[in-house]
Amino acid sequence: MPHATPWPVWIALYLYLAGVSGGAFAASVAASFLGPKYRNVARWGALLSPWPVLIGTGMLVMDLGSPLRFWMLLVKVNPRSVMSMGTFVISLFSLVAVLYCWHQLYTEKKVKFTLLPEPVLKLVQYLGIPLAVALGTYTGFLLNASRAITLWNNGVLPLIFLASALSTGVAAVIVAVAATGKWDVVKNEVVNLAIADAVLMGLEIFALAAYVWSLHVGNMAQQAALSFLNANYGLLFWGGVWAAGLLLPLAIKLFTKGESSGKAILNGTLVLAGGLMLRIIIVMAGQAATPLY
Amino acid sequence: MAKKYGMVIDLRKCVGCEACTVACKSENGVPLGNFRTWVQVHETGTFPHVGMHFVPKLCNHCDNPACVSVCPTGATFKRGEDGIVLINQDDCVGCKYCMVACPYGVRYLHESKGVVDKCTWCVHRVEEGVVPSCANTCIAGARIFGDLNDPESEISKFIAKNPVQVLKPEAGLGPNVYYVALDNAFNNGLGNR
Repeated sequence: MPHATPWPVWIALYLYLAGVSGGAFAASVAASFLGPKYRNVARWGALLSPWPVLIGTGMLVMDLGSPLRFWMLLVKVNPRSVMSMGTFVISLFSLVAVLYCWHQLYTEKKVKFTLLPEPVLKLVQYLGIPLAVALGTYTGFLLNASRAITLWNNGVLPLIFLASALSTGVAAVIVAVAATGKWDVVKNEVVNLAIADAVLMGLEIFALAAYVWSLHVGNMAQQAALSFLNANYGLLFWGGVWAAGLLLPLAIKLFTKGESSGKAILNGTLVLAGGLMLRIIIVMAGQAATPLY
Repeated sequence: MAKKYGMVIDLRKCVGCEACTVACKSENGVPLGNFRTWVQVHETGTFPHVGMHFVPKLCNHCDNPACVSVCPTGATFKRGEDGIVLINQDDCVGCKYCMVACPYGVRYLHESKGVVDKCTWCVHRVEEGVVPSCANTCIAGARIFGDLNDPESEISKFIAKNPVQVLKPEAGLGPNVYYVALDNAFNNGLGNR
């Protein structure tokens, strides 16, 4: 009698939080390259980025059958295992994000020293971007590697997760900047960052559409999995991920006049909620849609 | 030549008594609620033309096991000398990646040990020259265990004379548990596949 869902909802939450961290870090570094007029984005991205992935990794460790053996993932390596490779991506990224956050606190004179003197800082920034992208993509490849689960074993999934990771990370920074800064001061930054987020969401829509279409025209197992998704998670998927998490914020961005912090926060929150729903649906529906006998 | 252990289950003989399920549990100390082997029941047809079929399940000890490639610590491995897929429980962290990767759903988390567990083909018995407990106990002799690489073994001779099938051949993992009359249990189209 097989276990229907070996991976609980915590795993979905972990995949989501890792993506948010990667996106926030990427936004921070990109903003710092654009100069001081994006300093609030650079600041909040740096301050936010380590926490979600650290919390998520904590959840992951707690879900292990033997949490105290988590260190063995770093010592015993299987190059064929996506999880084994991902362990190093997560560890390296977390290290980089923590150092980067610490450096931000140093520039604000909240801590007395930095571990990132100027040349190292540049290296961390250049190294951090591919790491952040690898982190977002890894969460998709992790699920991809299970050929038993039709909704996971789909080549578009890593792209969806990457686009969602970057857009939710950027959204988190938008919400933080809009909620904490004086609107007159941060307006330009928030509005331009929201445009970047809209582009990422556009890419996510393309990838997600390709995913659904590939299931729709796919083999019998893929069609059955899509039917299962629609029947059991249809409202959450089409109403939550598509309508509330992608189309609605895009429509608000494109078709409403005027900019305000409230609008930016609302849109950012919708994107964050949509990304979370996406992970939960893919992780849970994927396992449940697969008859293990 | 290295051995390649396999099993044939002749579903024409299986009556669904679950003696194999019980023998396995007592032989291997499998925890309450978990199973290394069990008998899946398949109902087919529509009233009044109905059938009930039994399909015993266990680890397929695949040629190309999905569990081995995903395992992040290399705890799950396939033994070179006889093809048995085993778990080194000292190295398993209980991430359950193998459980989501296995299309046969034959793995479970041993809660008290905190590691993943499954059928070992009773490696402790096989190394002593006797067959696994399930095959030993089967009241109908439906389970035949042996070396697929030895043309003189009982299992090889049986496969040579009888049509056999495997579960989920489309997964491409090269399972080593063969069934006779398997399609009888699946004649519902999409059914229980």
